[in-house]
Amino acid sequence: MKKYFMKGNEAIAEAAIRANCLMYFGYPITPSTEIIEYMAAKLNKVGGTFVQSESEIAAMFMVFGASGAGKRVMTASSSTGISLKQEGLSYMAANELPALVVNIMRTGPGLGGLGPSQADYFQATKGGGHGDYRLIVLAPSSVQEMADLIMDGFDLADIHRNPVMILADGVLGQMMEPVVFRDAAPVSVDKSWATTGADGRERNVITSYSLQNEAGEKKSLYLEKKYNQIKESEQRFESYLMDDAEYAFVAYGTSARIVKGAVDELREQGHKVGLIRPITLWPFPEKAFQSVLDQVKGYLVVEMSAGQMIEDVKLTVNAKAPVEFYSRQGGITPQHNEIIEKYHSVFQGGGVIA
Amino acid sequence: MSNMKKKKDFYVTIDEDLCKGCMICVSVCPTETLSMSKNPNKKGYYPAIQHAPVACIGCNKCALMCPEISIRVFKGQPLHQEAI
Amino acid sequence: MKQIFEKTKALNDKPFHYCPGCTHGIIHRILGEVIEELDILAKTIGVAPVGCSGFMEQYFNIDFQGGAHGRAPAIATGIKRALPDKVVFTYQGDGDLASIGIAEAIHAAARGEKFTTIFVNNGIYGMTGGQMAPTSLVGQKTATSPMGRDAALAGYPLDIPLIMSTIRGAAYVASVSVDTPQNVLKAKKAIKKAFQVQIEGHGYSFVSVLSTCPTNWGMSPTESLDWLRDNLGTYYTLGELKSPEKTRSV
Repeated sequence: MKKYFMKGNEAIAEAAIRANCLMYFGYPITPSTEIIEYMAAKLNKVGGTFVQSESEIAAMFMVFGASGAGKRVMTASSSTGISLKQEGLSYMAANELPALVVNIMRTGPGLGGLGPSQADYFQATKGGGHGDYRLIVLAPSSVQEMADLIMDGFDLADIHRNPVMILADGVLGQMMEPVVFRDAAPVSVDKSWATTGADGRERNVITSYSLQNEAGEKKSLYLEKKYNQIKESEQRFESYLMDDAEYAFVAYGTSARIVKGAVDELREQGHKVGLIRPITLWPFPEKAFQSVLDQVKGYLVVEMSAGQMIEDVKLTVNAKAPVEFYSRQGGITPQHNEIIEKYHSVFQGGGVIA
Repeated sequence: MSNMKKKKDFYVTIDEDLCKGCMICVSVCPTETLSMSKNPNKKGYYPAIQHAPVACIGCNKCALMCPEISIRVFKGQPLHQEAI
Repeated sequence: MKQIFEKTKALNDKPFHYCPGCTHGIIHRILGEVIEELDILAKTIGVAPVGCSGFMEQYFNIDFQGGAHGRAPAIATGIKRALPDKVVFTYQGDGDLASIGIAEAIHAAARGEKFTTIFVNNGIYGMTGGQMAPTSLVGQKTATSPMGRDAALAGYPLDIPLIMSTIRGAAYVASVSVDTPQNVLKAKKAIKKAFQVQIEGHGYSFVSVLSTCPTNWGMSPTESLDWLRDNLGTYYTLGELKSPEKTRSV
């Protein structure tokens, strides 16, 4: 397979096209803009459809329409733009419509800045939109994973009839690394529910409106059951040097890359540490923790936020061991030495790095 | 009663269960062949009726304006000469 | 005897839930008749709004999607771009199109998206209980302008078909009313032409239909038709504002 050297954002776009996603609707916003520009340049050449919409809201509902018409479709934005899409995401989940939505996180709240952030974790995993729904949330940690998880994401979206979000950040979006595009081999699923014109079949309706509470509860229970099934079958994570780890770091995305370096350094110094790297943020990979609950004496969560994923870690660890936190915010990335210092300070009785 | 010379017979049927008594058909009928029933339907609306089918000229105005699509227009004579 | 007026096959048997005298019933009917007469029942996909007609899909025998308030033109864009050989329409009230959804409506027209919009304008928000709309007239009493719309505070109504007619991507723009049987026939003609413009691939087509809301106007259905004619009908531009044959070629 040919190796390319690409930006994370470009890898996302190229992977989507190879996964047979030939429709893209979007609005430019830094640091995700390379995705829309790549699509604008390439989609029409491969028989696809590209539309720059008037807003992130409009793009989300164009995705709704095209998905409802049975097509693979994607949109991408960043943080504040993803805020605009929340209503649309709720509607898509309610109507069980598959699609990929990419969030290349930038800082917030408000207009924020252009630096990397991980402060949209709550928005992605706990809702953001109204009502009881979930997004399958995938967190790549390298340009290669940006490509791989896009392809996996489209399959997951089709199989589970749900929107899937790729939660990355500006560093991953902008960095260039080697990437190989696997043979996508998209799953084939039944889309006879799509609105393609009622020619020789019962007509299809894609709506999420009912004034009857009994019907509403039935629908809610149905979705709940689906989400529980996804929780059971789709957890993904990486366990790095966890076999004999006494202390575990927990981090995803760009933070995980940095933490890995810190873990290696600590290991060289003789500390038995490892990293649990969630790849699905929803469903949260509880299984990664369950196997080491009796073994790990403390967790150190590293995020580029004021502490969002740490709440899910605490819920999962359930007070079996202390869960500590280190972060940098506002677009600043944590450094090895800071992380190592924090580790010493919380688990090794303080003191200077050896 | 209209002065128009009628060569052909027409009449309408109004589905009394669909009618909401809005009276638009009565207001647009040029030959006063329609009026409102004094008996309410199942939903409590007083439906429109064609009390004088002999005056009907088949202009379709009532059917065109009925928001419930409760009116059908026919050429010929109704089975009963009284209001349907 | 021979039946000379029957119900279109585009509509099923479900009784309408609309208020007595609500012109949605008339507009649904002529829309259905157009779809049947153009023989596009099997290839038409409708996009429902949020409003009194938010359940309109219950009455039609065609595929339907329904999304958030105002976003129907974006949804229709997605559907038509996905399935260019199908016929797609949106059906929207004055809140859906002229207020929250104005950007989606204008930009769909600007891009020349090849679907048809039926805009049902009764100068008031029906579903939510009669609040002021962007198309409510100055002086009109509504639930959020109880003393009558004050231009100093709330500005002036938007003449949507006039605005749409200035957009180059809009190939067909018509403004009609359903206050009389004659106008109902004209409205049906305009809707039919709008669909033909779509089918022939000219671009975006738009028909604004002036309508009544007896319940929230506080009038009887027949009084409402008169009020419509004398007020909305005299303020808003009516007629065929733009059509492919009237457009100068570049």
